[in-house]
Amino acid sequence: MRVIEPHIHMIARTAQDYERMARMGTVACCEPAFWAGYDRQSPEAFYDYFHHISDYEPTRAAQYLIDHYCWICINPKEAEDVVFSREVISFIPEFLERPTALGIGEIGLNMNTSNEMTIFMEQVELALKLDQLVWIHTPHLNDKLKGTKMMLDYLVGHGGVDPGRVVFDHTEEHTIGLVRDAGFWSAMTVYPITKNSPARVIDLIEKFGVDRMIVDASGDWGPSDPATLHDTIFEMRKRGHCDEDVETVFYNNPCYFLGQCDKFKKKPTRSRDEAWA
Amino acid sequence: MSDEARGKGSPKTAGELLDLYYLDLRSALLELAAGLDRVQAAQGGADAIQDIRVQRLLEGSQLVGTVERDRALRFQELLSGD
Repeated sequence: MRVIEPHIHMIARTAQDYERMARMGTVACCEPAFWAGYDRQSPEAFYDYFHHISDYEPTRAAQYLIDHYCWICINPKEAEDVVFSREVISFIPEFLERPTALGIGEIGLNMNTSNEMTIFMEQVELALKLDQLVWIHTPHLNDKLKGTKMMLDYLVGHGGVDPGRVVFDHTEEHTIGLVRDAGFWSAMTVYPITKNSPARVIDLIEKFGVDRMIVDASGDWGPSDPATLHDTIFEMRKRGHCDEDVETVFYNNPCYFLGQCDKFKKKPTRSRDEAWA
Repeated sequence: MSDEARGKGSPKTAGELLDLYYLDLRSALLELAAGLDRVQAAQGGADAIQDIRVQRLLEGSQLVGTVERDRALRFQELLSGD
């Protein structure tokens, strides 16, 4: 079965990770713009970073037969300085024109501050203006529920946001129902310690269904592993689910969501209506 | 129909799931017990065991033993209340 990794920070991963991913069936991966493990010292550092994920990583991934896509934004962990953030936002449109840039992300909240919310809203407006898909980061641990509610309240109240073009990532038991009830896509991240385990992801798929469900490993420079996505595929099979449903979650669903951007080349193996019936 | 009701549920029986996960669940609870012993036995353990994080874990373990469904959801909500 072919697998799409919808969220991974390959800038922080080795060539051996690309090789492992390829051997495990990964045929495409997506790299949202995020924190690098340290605060960048200038907006120009973001310019170089955007260049890296939109130009160099696709070349590196291609050596392992993996299509590499990216998302562009100022991430919430570095969005507290509004003036700094707006400088970065000023050159985001240039990178959204790159052939592998799928949309604006991962925007969102980190500590749920008003400045973070301001920059989140400005980037949502930019996405609407430029007709871009949106990938949302929800906060970690104890801040997740409050931050998710803040962003949902804004987007639902906005009136101009199509929830079918927005993913809320890092959802867990206490946030996934809120996101889905509002019509948005939900993504679940599988980490070795925090976020979700493979078993809990399958619990939530059994509870809510396969529609509008995405799973990712979100590998970066911290405790994480591209293999957790594939561990979750094995978990779903162990739990007795049919191959068609497994393929829906780990290949077709990313195709349905990401395929709303013409630049995404992989095609689903069957129609959405059939897969979600 | 609520969104929750859209899920197909597990293809496996409860007994099969218990067989599949029992040792994992046993291990997870044992890790909690041993971890709290470890913290309490160390220098400053009496104070550390009163830490709000430990108290939340103890409240959570009590919650898991008393509520009849949505244990993970309720535990997450408890931790979100800090």
